[in-house]
Order: sequence, then C-alpha cells, then structure tokens
Amino acid sequence: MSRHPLEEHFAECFVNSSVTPEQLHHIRQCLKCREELQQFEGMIALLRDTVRTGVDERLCERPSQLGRPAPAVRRLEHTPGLVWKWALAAAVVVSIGMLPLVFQSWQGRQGRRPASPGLNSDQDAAALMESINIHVSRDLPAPMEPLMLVVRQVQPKQ
Amino acid sequence: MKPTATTEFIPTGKVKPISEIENIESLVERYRTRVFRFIFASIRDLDTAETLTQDCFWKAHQHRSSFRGDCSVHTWLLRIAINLVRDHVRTKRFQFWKKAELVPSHELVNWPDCGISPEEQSDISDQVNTIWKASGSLSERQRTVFILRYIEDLEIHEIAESTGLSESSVNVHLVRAVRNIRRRLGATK
Repeated sequence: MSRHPLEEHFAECFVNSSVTPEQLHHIRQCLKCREELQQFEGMIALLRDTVRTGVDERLCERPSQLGRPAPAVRRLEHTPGLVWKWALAAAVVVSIGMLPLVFQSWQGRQGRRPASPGLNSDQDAAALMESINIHVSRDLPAPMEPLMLVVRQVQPKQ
Repeated sequence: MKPTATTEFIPTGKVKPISEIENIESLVERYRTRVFRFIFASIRDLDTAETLTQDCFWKAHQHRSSFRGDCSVHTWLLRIAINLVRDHVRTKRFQFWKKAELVPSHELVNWPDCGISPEEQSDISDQVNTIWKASGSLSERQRTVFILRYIEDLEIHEIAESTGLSESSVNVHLVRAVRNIRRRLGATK
C-alpha cells in the first residue's frame, strides 16, 4: 500500500470506472486518498448547488413564455440574423461583380482626357475665345462683300 | 383461442405518455427548469439558453408523433436539447465576430448568509469558479457528459440514452472530463 492509486487513476476512481478491487480497497482504507476524493466531490457538489440555485433564481426572475409557442412570431424572431447574413453575402457578390465595370469606366474616363493636361480652365477659356474671334473675324465680312462692291462702284461716279 | 384484446399488465415505463407530450403547457412546466439548466450549463449564456429552451419544447411539440416511448420524456427532451446545443456551438464557430456575455459562476448566485465568513465564501467561490471555467473548456462531448452526470445527476445509462453513446463511451468521456478538470485545478493551485 505504499503507492496511492489516486496519483495516477484519480479520474477513474472518482467516476468509479474500471477500478480494480485492490484500488477500491486502498481508497477505503487510506485516509489521504479518501480525503482527496471527498474534497473533489465537495467541490463538484458546490458547483451543482451553485448552478441549480442560480438557475432557479433566474427562472423565477424571468416568467416563462414557453407555454405559448407561436410559430409565426418565432419565425420572425429567427429571420433578422438570417436576412442580414444573406444581405451581406449578396452585397459582397454584387460589389465583386461590379468591379470590372467600375474599372472599365475609370479607364474610359482616363482615355477621354485632353492631350494637354497642363492647361487650366482660364487658359481653356482664353483659347476658346481666341478661336471664336478668328472664326468671327474671317466669316463676318463674307456676307458684307457684295455691299462693299456696290460701294466701290458708286464711289468713282461722285 | 387467441385473445382479441390484451388484458395483460403493461409496465408504465414503456407506455407512451401521450397526454404528457400532448399538453405542451404541462410539459414545459414540468421539464423547463431541467432543460434550461442543462442548456445554460452547456453554453453559459442566459438569453441563448432561454431561446434554445424554447426551441427544444417547440421541436418536441412539433415532433411529438415521433416519440416512441422507448425512453423517458426527460431523456427525450435532453436528446433534443443536446442536438440544439451542438448545432448552436457549431454555428457559433462561424460567428466569431459575435461575443456573447458568458456568465461567470460568482454572478450566478448570491451566497446566502449561512454563517460562513467572507474569506470562506471567497475561497468557495474561487473553487466553484475554477471548476466552472474548467468545465467550460472541455470538449463538447465531455462537457455534455460531465454536466449530465454531476449537475443533472443522471445515471450512466440515462446519459447513454440521451447522448446516443454506449455506456462504456460515456464512462470514457467522463473520466477524461474529470481528468482535464483536475489538471486545470492543479494548474491554478
């Protein structure tokens, strides 16, 4: 009886599973082993009492709604989580699908940019006015040309 | 001549307790505490435990016709509860962003003033808390078996019926659970 079986087989002895008669005999006789088992047993009993008392108290605080199962309401209670999951998954799929389109349109915008990106808006406006002026100064006299001819024809007679 | 109707004694344990299952209110009243306690001890979240307890009774009511009466109603309800807890744990693995507020054992109960000193109370509370935490870190099957045996006080054959395991398997899981808890206790001492 020099070796205590609890040192190696505590769990087996506590559960009372696959314990040899010799080990059982030792535990019955040995004060140290008995105390050790009783101490652990006491802790487990404390846990049991704690959980039981605690749960009883909680259940008294929360009146039961269990007697009235309402399937429609219950289904609604269950859906928000599911809807959110599906919505999130759908959003991810859609955004992944949109990526090529967004990339394409961005590339297109890059391609349509003017060749001289150094010009600012004032310079653009000035260049535009200049081209208009050139156009107007060249085009406006054209309709007046016949009138000028008449004027020239009239002038020598005076 | 063969008798047309049996007049033999039928053991009550094997008779399908139809009325007990049919009447949902009495079923809930009778088993609510035990089912809730098991689920709560398994997942340690009061709100989820309440929801799963509801689910358990709802499923029992839905599938009452499938109850063959080969086990007690309590065992049958526990079997449903075990499956619900297992499903919940598996689903929760994929919901890592959700954090449930788990109940520590010292919040579970206010120790009654029964003549023990605050130091003793604190010591007891620490011990219980350590076992509570240690049992929480067990594998799902070990925890289930441990709770059914030491919190629900079920016999090995009842645990075997509830979990669908053989009695020797239950014993093996129980031994491993106790060994792991003791290891944890040793580590904290």
